[in-house]
Amino acid sequence: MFKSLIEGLALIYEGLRQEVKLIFSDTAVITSYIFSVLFVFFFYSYVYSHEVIENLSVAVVDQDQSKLSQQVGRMLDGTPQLNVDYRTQSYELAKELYREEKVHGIILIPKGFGRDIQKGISPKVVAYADASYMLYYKQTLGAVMKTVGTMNAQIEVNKMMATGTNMKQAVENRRPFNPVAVPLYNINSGYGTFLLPVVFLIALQTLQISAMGVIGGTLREGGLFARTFAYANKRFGIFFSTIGRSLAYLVFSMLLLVIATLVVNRAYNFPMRGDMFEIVVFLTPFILSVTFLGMTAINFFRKREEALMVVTIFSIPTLLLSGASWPMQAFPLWLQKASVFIPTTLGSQGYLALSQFGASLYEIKDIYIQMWGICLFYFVLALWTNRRFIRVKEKVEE
Amino acid sequence: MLGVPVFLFFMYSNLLSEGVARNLPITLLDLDKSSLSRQFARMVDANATMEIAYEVADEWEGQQTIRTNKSYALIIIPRDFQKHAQKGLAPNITCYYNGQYLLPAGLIQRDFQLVAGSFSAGAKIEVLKKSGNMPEQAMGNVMAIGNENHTLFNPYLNYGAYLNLGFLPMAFQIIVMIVTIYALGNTLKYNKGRELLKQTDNNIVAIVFGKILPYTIVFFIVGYFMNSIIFYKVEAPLNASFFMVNMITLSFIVVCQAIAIFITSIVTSLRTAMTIGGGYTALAFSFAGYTFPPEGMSGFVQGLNYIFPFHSYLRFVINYAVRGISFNAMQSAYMLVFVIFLLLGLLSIPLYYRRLKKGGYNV
Repeated sequence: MFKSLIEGLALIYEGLRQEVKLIFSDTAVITSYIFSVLFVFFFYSYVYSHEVIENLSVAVVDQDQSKLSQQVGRMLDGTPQLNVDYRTQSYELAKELYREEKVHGIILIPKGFGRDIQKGISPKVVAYADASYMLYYKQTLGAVMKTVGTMNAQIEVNKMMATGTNMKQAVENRRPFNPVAVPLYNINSGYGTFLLPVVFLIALQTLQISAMGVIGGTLREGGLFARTFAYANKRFGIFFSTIGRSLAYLVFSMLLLVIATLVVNRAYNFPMRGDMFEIVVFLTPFILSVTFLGMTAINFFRKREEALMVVTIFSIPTLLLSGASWPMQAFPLWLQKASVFIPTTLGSQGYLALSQFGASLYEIKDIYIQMWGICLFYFVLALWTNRRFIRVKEKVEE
Repeated sequence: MLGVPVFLFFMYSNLLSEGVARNLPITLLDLDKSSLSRQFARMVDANATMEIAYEVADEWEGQQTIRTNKSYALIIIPRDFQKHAQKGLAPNITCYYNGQYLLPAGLIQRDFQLVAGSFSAGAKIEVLKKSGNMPEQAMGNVMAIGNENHTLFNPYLNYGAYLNLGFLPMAFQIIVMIVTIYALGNTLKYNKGRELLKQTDNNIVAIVFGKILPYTIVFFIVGYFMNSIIFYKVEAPLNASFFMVNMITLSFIVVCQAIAIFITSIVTSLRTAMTIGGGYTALAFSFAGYTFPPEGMSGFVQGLNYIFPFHSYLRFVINYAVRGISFNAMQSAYMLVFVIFLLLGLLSIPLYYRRLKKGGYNV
């Protein structure tokens, strides 16, 4: 009993040692696994580090040219979202500017605007917001709504004060209650803060699996699989060597994700609110799931180039399936259920909860347990795969 | 290889088939439990975007539902809400929403303001009417200025149409790139360059076209299929000729293949060529400036965008097909990018010829 335990440990160590050697003996593997991951972490963070769009160009078509209509224009220009770069009376001219991509939205103030407000007939500010790019749309509409809301309040309070109410009373009497909307965690709707935590995990998953595919593909192509892992060809050998090999990836990938969580977040001022120890504990089953999935995927890669193809193609779909951009609740049910088998789906949910929302590991124990479940599922498949390739001699290709 | 794009097209259009996110789970903390607060809760629940999935008894519990990804927002109605509202003390109703998920956050914030705004304004109008104002007068008092919004080119804010328009060509161009590199580089990997030259009597043009043209035709069919899904199944707005859209797609296919010739010719192994080609096309989406427009990127990155022909393609298609803008200066800039990449591909043919003459990568 004791002896077999020692043997097991020895096998784990041997698996770890051999795998590290495999990783470092192929430059393509180091490039795609270590350097590309780091490159993606830092480069993507750089691309999105501006976080928000400011001062989007719009045109104001002021057909009224009254004091109040000009105030609307100035207030729009004053919002952080918009910059009124063109003021004109001609709607056709504004349309032309839009077609040339010089402005991304048009705001029209109709004739009689100022007069109608004085008369108490509500005139309308007309916003043409471009929904072919969602952010242009949100940006334009958000600024217009805010401006109109502010002006409305101003006029209403002014009117009340004109009838003798004092300012404090007028403000309080305006509405029976005030709705206040407060964003949490990502308070400026920053795009980098939104995307990067998920990109960290997706990049790691994609590039680690592709590196493992290159290693496996190289071995299969050369017919070297059985020989390389000959040391594991004994009772329970595959079990222990699979654990040993996965430890190699656990160490490197964990290191990369710790760098992402601590260094990249700090360098680009992305928030990080979690406890690093809990994050490491959570990421352990995630990285192991990715590793075992990578081992299983070798079944499909007869040549090393194939690994590179498949994994790049699937990087965006996995991003979409993680539920970060399109809410999970709006998926068709079958995809909601099936997406769990991609490690990043549960992984990014848990990672976001820990690092961005400041949840404790105990609070997300459901996700954590499911993550281990996925890990176990792929572990069994990885065992089967490794056993298959060690036992069966591959046909050597020319 | 053809199965992959078809599968992806199917998955994307299926995933986004809802088009609009509805009934996002939110949490309610009602500390007042008055008739007014219940009425407000019912109005929130009746809104299409939000669904009260959790009702909690204290704030901590409510925060927890957000922290653990169960709900997107927490609405708190304070104690004595009704009493204070009737006294004219204007109490607050607060909606804490999770800003991390941009899309649900935007929807919830907008709809909360909408529901609460109209609820509150409605109450005010009632008060004004009771104090002797005409309905129009009351309306004019509460809302001095209205706004009229024209949602251009995607009137129902259908995210299915919006995202499929970008994601489908994105997957498509990766496949075009990788398959073309594989077709060109396979000969070099197995060092069969000289044999190939012998077979064709040193006719490099015949080799390149022979290798590429069949794929161009196949990809054109796949691209046509893709455009049919985008514009007729998902129903992205189409304000131009469908035939011309396919012609733009065809020229984009050729551009991608031209870049593939370039990449295959300058590297020293098929593996590297595919890594570069795959990485280059996989990065392209971020630089298309679609979900996050270039206005939010630094000047350097804005320039970098043009290195990815996908940027020009997507913007061209949106300008031409979605917005229905006829040919103008901006479009000719995109065309110019295409022409430059095409020239790059043509100029790489001699390089590829040199590689073939050597035999392959490993000689």
